[in-house]
Amino acid sequence: MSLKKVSNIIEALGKHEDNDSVRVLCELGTNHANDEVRELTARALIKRNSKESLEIVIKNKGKGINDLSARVAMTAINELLALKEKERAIEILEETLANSETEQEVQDTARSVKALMSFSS
Amino acid sequence: MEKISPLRASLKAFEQFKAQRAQKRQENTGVGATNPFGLTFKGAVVQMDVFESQAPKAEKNETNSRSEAFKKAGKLAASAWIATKSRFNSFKQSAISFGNRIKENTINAWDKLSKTEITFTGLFKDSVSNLQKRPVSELETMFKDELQTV
Repeated sequence: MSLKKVSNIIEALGKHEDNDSVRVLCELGTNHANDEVRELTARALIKRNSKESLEIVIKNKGKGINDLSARVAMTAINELLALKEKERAIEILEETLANSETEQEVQDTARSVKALMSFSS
Repeated sequence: MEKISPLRASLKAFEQFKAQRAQKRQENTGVGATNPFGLTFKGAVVQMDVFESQAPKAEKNETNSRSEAFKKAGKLAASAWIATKSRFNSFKQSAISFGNRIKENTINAWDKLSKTEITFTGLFKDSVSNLQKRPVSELETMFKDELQTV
């Protein structure tokens, strides 16, 4: 199975000027059954480093750092830690922790990732 | 009986010895030996031919050994020359075969290149930079199609 073209499309959507690309990635990429597609999508969204893209991988259950696949979740966390400008990501993590409507599981993950990011920066 | 003094007796004995020796000498000369020293070897008179000077013999030996050495050196030089010649020949042969091989390879490569057509159409069609320039709707359709094959 060759994911070269899929990977190129995901990367192109991640770097695209139009913000609608985030919606496409969220709808098609993060909900796909294939772990590799979800992993590539999470990476592209985090690399984009915009508010909308980061919210998808941080605040949503079963996506990005909250993915059921440990591999996908770890890749997303690593990508967050590798960001040069972490301010936006930390801001969204704080928002997630502050929001009482957010599920406890998501909040716990956000807390751990925030701690890791503060240690790494 | 007349009295003989010891001196006279000894003189007489000496004369007798002298006569005997002279007789012996005459006998020896009668044989015809040419040995001036009258030397004998186990009873036989040593002939003159036996006396050969050692100097020429040594010289002879020396000349022999020299000539042998020269012969040996010549043989060695000849064998070395032949070995060198054969080595040069083999080197020449290998160089020629190497050259021929290179020539053949070059000709083959040239033939292949002349028959090969290189087209860049579609090579960079799906590159990230190219896809990025397309509208999101088109990318969405492409993404959907590709995800169906995964």
